[in-house]
Amino acid sequence: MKCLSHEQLTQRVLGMEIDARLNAHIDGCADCQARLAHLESFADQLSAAHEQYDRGHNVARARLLASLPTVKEKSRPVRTGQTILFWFGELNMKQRFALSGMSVAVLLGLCVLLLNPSSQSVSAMELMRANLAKAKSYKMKMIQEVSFVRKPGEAPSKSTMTGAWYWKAPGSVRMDMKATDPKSGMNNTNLHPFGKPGIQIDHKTKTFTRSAARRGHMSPIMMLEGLKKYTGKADKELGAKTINGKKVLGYVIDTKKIDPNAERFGPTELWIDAETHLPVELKLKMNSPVTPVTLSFVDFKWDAKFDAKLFDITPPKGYVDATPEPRSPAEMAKSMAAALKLYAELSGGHYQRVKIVYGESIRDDMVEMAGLKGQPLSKMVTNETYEKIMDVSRGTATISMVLRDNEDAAYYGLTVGPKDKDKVLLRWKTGDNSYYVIYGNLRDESVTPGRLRALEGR
Amino acid sequence: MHAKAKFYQKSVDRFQVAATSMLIMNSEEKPTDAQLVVQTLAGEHESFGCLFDRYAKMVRAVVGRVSLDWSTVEDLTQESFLRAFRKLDQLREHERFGSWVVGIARQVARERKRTLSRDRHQFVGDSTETISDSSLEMSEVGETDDLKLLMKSLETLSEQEQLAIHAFFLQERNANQAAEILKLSRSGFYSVLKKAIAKLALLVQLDSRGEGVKR
Repeated sequence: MKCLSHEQLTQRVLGMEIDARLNAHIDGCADCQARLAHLESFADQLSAAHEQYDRGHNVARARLLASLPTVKEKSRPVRTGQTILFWFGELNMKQRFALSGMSVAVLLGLCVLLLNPSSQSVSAMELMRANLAKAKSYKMKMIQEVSFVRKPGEAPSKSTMTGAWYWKAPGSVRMDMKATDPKSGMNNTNLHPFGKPGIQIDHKTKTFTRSAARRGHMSPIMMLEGLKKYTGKADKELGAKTINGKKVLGYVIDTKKIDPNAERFGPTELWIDAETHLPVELKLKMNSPVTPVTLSFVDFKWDAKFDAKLFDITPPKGYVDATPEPRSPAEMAKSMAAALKLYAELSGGHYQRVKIVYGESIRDDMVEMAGLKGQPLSKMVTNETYEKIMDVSRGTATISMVLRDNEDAAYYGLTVGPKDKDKVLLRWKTGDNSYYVIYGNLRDESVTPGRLRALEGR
Repeated sequence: MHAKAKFYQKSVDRFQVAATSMLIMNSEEKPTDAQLVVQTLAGEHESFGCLFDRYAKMVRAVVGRVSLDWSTVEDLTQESFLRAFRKLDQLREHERFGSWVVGIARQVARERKRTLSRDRHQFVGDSTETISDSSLEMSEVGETDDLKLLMKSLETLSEQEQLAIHAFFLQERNANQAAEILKLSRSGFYSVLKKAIAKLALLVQLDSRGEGVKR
């Protein structure tokens, strides 16, 4: 078989599918391999050359936004009525009759739909979705209740945290969370301006840590992003009641319909303002194996005006910077591998089989697999396996952080297992021309973008 | 507080933190272009800033084909986005913002090219040569000779091939997103792109050997 053309080799560089015979030829031909390596290097050069288009971006952005209010003008409104009449007049008689007939049929269909009670919740959801999409900001109060048993035979105790949450379009978030129990003293502020570095402030210890810009998004449920996209109807209607003097309509929705990855959540109970069709209260339970958690989001205020300082990440005066030193990719991989190894041991030979890793779900899964779910606190915290899980918690937190914050990270636990020595389990971008990879058998290394594409079969 | 009670309290605090961390979930969902357009139309300019973040590089690459220098590229980019902002309520399919603003950028570039060729006060000479040199000017700061050669060779490709290369690399090699920007099907896009890259690779190879190229 003769050697591949430049175009055929380029297909491989671009990750396009090529005939198995051609792939086999490349594997056995030194000349084609050399040309392929040259093309991959060339593609990397093209990638590098395009970085120039990022020059001065932040300054240009600020300049653009500063000029917007002075140039925005309403375009001349299209006079819809006249346009429709003109168009209708252009049709022949047969076409006009056909169109009129169709219109009547559509109108009748709409009447049937609107009069059908089950269609009312669809309308309410649609109105809510439309109004949520337009919302520029909101603030609300969050109440998080954790229930646990301290010692065997004791009645369950509760620990409550309350918080003020603020959201500003397109995705800046601030959470001020405080434990109600003075013995705890927990009092934190988490600030994540959209697309910018964030800060976490611990008011109890008077320290703060800085974090990278979150490339991912806040929880689709908690930040109502899921509701903005929800196109279905409610599973149950709860009727009407009054909250804070407002008439509200209640609905129950399977949380997995709002967010398919919300494995640990019970149904969402939602109350929306009958006039504005915006949420007033939202409640749901999280079935964490560690402790069940009840979440209530109340006292919503929509399109509230916020002080500009609300999302200012300047730390309070006198607070100490406790931001940890950045670790090398190899150090990060080592702690991640320890967590993944323990998970595989507890699960009987696989990693967490999910598409998206949520928060500390890997750790929570391990607690459940260790048979500690629902155990009294005194038994759980002194259990040897629980201690092992806590020992690797830095690794689970690192996995969560990388997948949340890195600009190009991926996790393949759904399809990759401990025996897959040449398959990528987890990877993240470490530089312009490098990625760090953990394979199924937990060995790790740095690779080029070209090599990564070949490994991932792109 | 008694030591054991402190230990339990620490564990309970840890559960609270774990619960809160579950709320700060990773999601691969970012606001869609359609959402950002709706928010912009509702008066949220920061959302338009996000659209600028997503497409400014592509617009710069489009207008950069006729630019004289980087400040002109920036001006043309600003002009493209300002036009998009003014006409945003005319965009029917909000999810197509990317291809729409690229279309506006191409129009801005064409108008600029016409102005350049008509301007009697500015020596233009052979317009193709001048545009090539201006691309070098744009890329020369901090760039190696190899990259200069690369960018110069890019100009020998057709407009569609150049845009395919820009879209692919500026969308971080995401062929689906790049195809959407250029309003091509995925297979159609790949067809243009592979030819463009293969051609370019050969040109650069021949150029670097000093063999000259038939353009």
